[in-house]
Amino acid sequence: MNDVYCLAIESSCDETSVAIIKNGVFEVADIILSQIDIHSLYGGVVPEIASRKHIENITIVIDEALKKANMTMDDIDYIAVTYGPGLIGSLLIGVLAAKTLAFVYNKPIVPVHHIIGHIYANNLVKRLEFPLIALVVSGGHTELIYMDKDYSFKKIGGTLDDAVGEAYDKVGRVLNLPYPAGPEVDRLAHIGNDTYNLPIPLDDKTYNFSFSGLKSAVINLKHNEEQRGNTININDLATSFQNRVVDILVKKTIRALKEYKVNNLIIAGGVAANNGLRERLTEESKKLGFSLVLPLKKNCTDNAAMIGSASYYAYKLGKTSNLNFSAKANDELC
Amino acid sequence: MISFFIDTCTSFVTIALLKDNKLINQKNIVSNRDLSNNLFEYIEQLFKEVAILPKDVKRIYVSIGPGSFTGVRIGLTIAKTYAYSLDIKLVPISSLEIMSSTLEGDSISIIDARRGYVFAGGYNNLNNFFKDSYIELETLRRMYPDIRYISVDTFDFDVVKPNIDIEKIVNNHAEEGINPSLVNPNYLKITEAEANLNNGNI
Repeated sequence: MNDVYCLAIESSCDETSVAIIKNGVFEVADIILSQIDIHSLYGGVVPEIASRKHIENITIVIDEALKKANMTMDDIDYIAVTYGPGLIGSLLIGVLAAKTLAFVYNKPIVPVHHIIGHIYANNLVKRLEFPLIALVVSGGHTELIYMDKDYSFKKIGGTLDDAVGEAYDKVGRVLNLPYPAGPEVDRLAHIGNDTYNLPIPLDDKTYNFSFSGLKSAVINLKHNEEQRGNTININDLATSFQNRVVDILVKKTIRALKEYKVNNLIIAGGVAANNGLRERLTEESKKLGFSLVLPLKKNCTDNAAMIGSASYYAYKLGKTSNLNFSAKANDELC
Repeated sequence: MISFFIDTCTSFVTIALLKDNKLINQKNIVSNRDLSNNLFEYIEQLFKEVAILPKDVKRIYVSIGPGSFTGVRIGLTIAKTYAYSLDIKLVPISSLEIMSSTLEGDSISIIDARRGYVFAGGYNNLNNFFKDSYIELETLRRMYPDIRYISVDTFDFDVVKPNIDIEKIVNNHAEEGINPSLVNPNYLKITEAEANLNNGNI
């Protein structure tokens, strides 16, 4: 069988990334240009600034990827690109660059859903084994997805309000932690003790999640203690918050594995880099004997390598597109 | 030598192909919300109708703004990626200069920038006499009460609708062209977030 090379572009938020992936599993090149230092000045991603940075950098990043791979556009079999969901102005730059390459070099193009990309970040660690459950945890998503084969997705539960990463960011802001707050809350959580009495988020028979109550409880607790003149132990509060979050994520995920009789668990999205979550799931997988794949930390944040990996299975299924597909700010996976 | 021209900075979108600086095909598209999605449909037609292959292009002329921020980026992302992928030169041109090719003699091209402001530039046969600026419309009108204004937008005074002369523009820039990665939009306006940060409002 001939090797298949994909040039993948991801620009859905504040990272301009281009990767070259061989046969869906091997990273030939993966270049990520992060804008995080710029957006941290504003306490969050400013969409117009993100778009401006993407257009400045896009050809530079494509060039770096091709040079690193020691390849030219003629060596590429097809183009893949994130079409959504994400910031529309940011997505547009990647989508238009990808369409242009496909047009000039007359190559097939595969539009990829951003979350499918995150799921396939695991495929770069170890070829996915089915059936599997994917726990998707990021700034925009908290979902449990069932897959019986490549590119087949069934959502069995999702967030009813804040995504888990969103809750981390908001709690981090109240605790005056630098943006992005997730990794910092995680770090402090490993120093502190679980001393604060915080509510357990939505512990019911469904596979849905709700984190806004927990988030509000943290915010109220801090304000109330400050009004009473008490100081907050930030480390202990971070531990208490993270334990509630990880407890419920792990509890519902394990139940899904049992009920769907699935032995393979993968995690995906920015919060998949959270050490608290990774440690707990690793313990559970040893205890209960299911197979767990954790994505590389560098592939938990947005990157084109995961888009390239996912696109290979779409490409093999013939899911290529003409050049008239849209970038979409919102798009349900399933 | 085949050249490609693209201007998506205003709602009057133009794409064109030239051979030895003579126009061989042109499309004017009234911009709509879906432009970024279906623009390639028009680009593919532009090439097919005159049997030119995308790889035949040796030079790209692109409008770099000012204009709608997203509009500016649509054409420039295509132009940068296109020129980069074929290792050819990219020629950046002001959107206001392009509009000015509509008329002989003095004129000021304007684009509505909202809140009483416009993007404006004054040209005489493509020679700039009033630098492209983000300026209050009233101020501009006081400075140039009697000049002819060119715009796709509607104002409470008469404006000439653009009917651009692509050959004239291309000939004026025929000797230029730079590395496409160095070409960036000319927004003429920093983002609100940056303005707030500069004013200490964050």
